[in-house]
Amino acid sequence: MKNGGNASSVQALESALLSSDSKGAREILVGSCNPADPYACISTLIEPALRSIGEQWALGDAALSQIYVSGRICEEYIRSLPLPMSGIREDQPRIAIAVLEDFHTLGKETVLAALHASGYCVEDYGAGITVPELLELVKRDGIEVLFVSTLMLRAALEVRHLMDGIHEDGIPVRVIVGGAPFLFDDLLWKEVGADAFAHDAAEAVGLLEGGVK
Amino acid sequence: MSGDEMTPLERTLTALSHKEPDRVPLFLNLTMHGARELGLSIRDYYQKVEHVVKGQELLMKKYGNDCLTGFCYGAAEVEAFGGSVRFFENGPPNAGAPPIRDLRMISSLDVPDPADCPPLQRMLVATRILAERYGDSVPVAGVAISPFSLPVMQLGFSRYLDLLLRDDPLFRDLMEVNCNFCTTWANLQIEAGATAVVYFDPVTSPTIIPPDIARKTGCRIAREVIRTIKGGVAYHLASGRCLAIAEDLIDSGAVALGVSALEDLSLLKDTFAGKMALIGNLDGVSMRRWSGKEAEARVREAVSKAGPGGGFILSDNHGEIPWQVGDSVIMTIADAARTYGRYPIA
Repeated sequence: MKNGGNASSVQALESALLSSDSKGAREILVGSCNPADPYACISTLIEPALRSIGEQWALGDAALSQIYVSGRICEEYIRSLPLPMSGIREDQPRIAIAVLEDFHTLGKETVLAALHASGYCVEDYGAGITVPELLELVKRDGIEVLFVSTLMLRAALEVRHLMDGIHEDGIPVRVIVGGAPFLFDDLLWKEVGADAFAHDAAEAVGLLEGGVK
Repeated sequence: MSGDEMTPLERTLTALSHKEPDRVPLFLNLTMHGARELGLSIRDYYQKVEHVVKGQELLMKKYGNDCLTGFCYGAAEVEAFGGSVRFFENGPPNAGAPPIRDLRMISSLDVPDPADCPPLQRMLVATRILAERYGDSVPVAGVAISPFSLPVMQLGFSRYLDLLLRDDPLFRDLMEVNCNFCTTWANLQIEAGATAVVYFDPVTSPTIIPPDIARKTGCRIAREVIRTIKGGVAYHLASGRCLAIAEDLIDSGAVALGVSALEDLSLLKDTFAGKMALIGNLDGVSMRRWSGKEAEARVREAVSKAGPGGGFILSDNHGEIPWQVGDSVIMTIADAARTYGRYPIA
């Protein structure tokens, strides 16, 4: 019975994903996964492969485009499954993602694809969002976990104002930040008061599963 | 300046020739900080050529900077293609929503004339004035965004990657337009007196795309475009990694390379020695929190790793020092560069 990945299928999927071989990756997913149990496929095959690619990127051995394409391929496969009405994850928090202030959406798209590929439902607030707009959206939608992507240092520092607003309004949301400024300055996420920082898309998924302490 | 000191231009040209000048040249890429010197908002600062010229003059005198630039902000190039720019009080102007909303627009895209784009014209006039006043003694840097990286602002990053990775014919159409624009814009800056042009190409970096794709796309385009630029070119990956495509960068025709804090400067020096001068690699993001001691130590480490033998210009690793980096850190960097960057380097 197919029940997800073992070490060799994870490696094979990783290799296909790194080559942007969507046909090959899909064959591995179809061959290894039981469509009736997508969660097993995600946790034993997709997530380990995406995590490994993320780790390679951190070391300079993979490119951001490979993370992006890998997430998209896995997302497409998961979306192709006949999922139960309750979704893959019944008790997931309400999640949203946004690019703060600018229009560089690659980081957001990469995390979004990895979250979808891991069976999460996510509100996509898009790009060019300001702090007041984001606060309103989070309140309106009762968001519990918010992913914030930034490219410029200025936007990263705006997260401080977002966190101030969250605390002043008593909004029960956890904020996970990502993007270039946080990669170059590993103290920055704490300085702006974020709850966590994800180096890459797979780590973002991992933080969610760990409960974003 | 003592009598036996080189001028910044002599210092820079000697370093670019892979020889040791009197000291390591210092390129502080301060674009926005001129506004602070003049007590203006960043938006107002960029509206007038005389502001930018005055700002550059003040910053050069204050820090002993070895370069000048008429460059204001990268998003100006996408304004030439109908894009918009958002200004902020405490950061660089940023590109607004991508102007190419529908990919089918690419096939009818014309090459814009930089003369029709006021912010590019202002940069050109600022370059001309700086070159006339200082060009015989201080290098004046121009900046052109590579045809391969400009689509990040024209289309948005993810839509551009989709287009690029599926080798769509529209990608080639877009590159043709962008190559013509880049050559024209770079040469206008050279004609205005820029000593060299910085070819800004972050997408080609192995941080963003795999080396095999970079070789077939960004590196090939760079080779074609750089040979059409009638002046010296410095290749800049805007804090992205470079080692995996080192040979391709060496073959690009550029004389210098902006390198990242993500890669070891000693290894970079070994790889590019005698082939491309290195520009870098102080990290601008963490720079704003450096203590005086840390700033001094970072400068000392950089010049000791990459300075010996020449071929090194001390700079930040992105091509622009953030607005948040304060006066005291910049001053410490400048002082340390003069102290520890003097040849022979200990």
